[in-house]
Amino acid sequence: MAKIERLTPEQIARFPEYVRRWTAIGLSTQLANREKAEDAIRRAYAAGGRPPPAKIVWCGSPLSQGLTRAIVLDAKFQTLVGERVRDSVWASVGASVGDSVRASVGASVWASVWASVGASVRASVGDSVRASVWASGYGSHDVNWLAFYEYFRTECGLREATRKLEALTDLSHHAGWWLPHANICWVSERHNVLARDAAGRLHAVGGPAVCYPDGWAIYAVHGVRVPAKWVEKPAELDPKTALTWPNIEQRRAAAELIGWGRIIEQLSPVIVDRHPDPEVGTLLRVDLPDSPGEQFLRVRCATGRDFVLPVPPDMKTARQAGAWTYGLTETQYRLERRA
Amino acid sequence: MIEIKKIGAQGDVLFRRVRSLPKTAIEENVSGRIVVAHSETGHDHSIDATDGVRLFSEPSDPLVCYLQLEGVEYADVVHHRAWDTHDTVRLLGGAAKKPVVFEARRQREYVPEGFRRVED
Repeated sequence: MAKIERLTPEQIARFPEYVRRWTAIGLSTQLANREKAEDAIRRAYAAGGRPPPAKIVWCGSPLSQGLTRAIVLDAKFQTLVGERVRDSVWASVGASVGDSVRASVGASVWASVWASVGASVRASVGDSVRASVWASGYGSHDVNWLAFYEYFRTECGLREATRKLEALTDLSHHAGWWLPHANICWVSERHNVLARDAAGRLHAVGGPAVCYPDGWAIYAVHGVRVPAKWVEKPAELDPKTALTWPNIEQRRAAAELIGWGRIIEQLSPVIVDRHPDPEVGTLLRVDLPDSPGEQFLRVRCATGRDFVLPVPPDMKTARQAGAWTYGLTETQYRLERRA
Repeated sequence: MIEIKKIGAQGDVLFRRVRSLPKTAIEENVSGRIVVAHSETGHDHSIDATDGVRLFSEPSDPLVCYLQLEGVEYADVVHHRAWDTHDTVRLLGGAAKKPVVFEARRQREYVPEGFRRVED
């Protein structure tokens, strides 16, 4: 077969369909199809040159799956469980498919399909969901790269080169994460709740942004993970938290959940200095219940979001306070540009 | 993409061109990309094309590091996050034969004991 150096306009026109279809698979909140998933797992082992696992254990979430495995391994049942096989399945399946598809496809075609299909699916699924969970075999969250190969398989006829991926592709349609060992394979249900904002970031107010059938949940506000109680009981969120929480992204999320109106109403900050440029910011003085005279710089980031930074009580202007946050003097702090 | 000749910021990292490396600076071994600012939540600021760029730390100040550009016109600092991404910052090296040095300063905030690095 001749190397594919160019895609036809008809082939390129299929990109959006792949992104749409595979994003939907990655974001699916359906219960796993256990029968089909178990069949796919056995075929994935076979594709990796291994006998099927003696036992497939279903878990309600990636968390319980990871915990169950940790407990079993900790209890010195390793021989029962057998060695980890994810890497050997991956090495034999992933590398050989990658090499043979790459050999058949020109670099520019590879890049354009990745950019249009793989990267788009990754942006809408992988980074927003998988990053919020953690590492293993990702099942339905593997769609970002499986979609890429599926495109070549279906649209460019590379069926033979991608054959070893068929089981993993099927698994992505039917289950969540999986942890393959030689004798036991743990596999998880998919999330049954998944809420995102218009930009595709995990986001829900009033409940979890991600939830699994066993109740494990992730709470997030516009892509920033936050404690459950902030989202479940925002009325109990203390305005002081929105000014002093250690992580600045979570601090900003707290301010958003409380609302600046309520923060100002409850803490009555005094404006010490307001610079006309919101990116230089406003210097506020607040008497917190246990620490009077605290100063904060409220500043707009180049991404359009407002942040609050505690600054020393002897700051007189917003620019001086901004300079201090970078360890500079007010005279040195004259930015050409801000990204 | 924004270009910085002398001083500019990318979120919680400020870049400032300085005359030379301080004598106390120590070169860091780098394999792969240069992480200018590590983030607790995984959205690092890094230089991914590292040819002609060297990283130095300053033992007396953990919030500061130095980037030396030699024989390259610029170095691009990329913010790795899928959303609310800061624009890539291009540090301009110019055509000067002499290496160009940028100081990278992490943002800090006040605590009663002094200050701490802004965690993001």
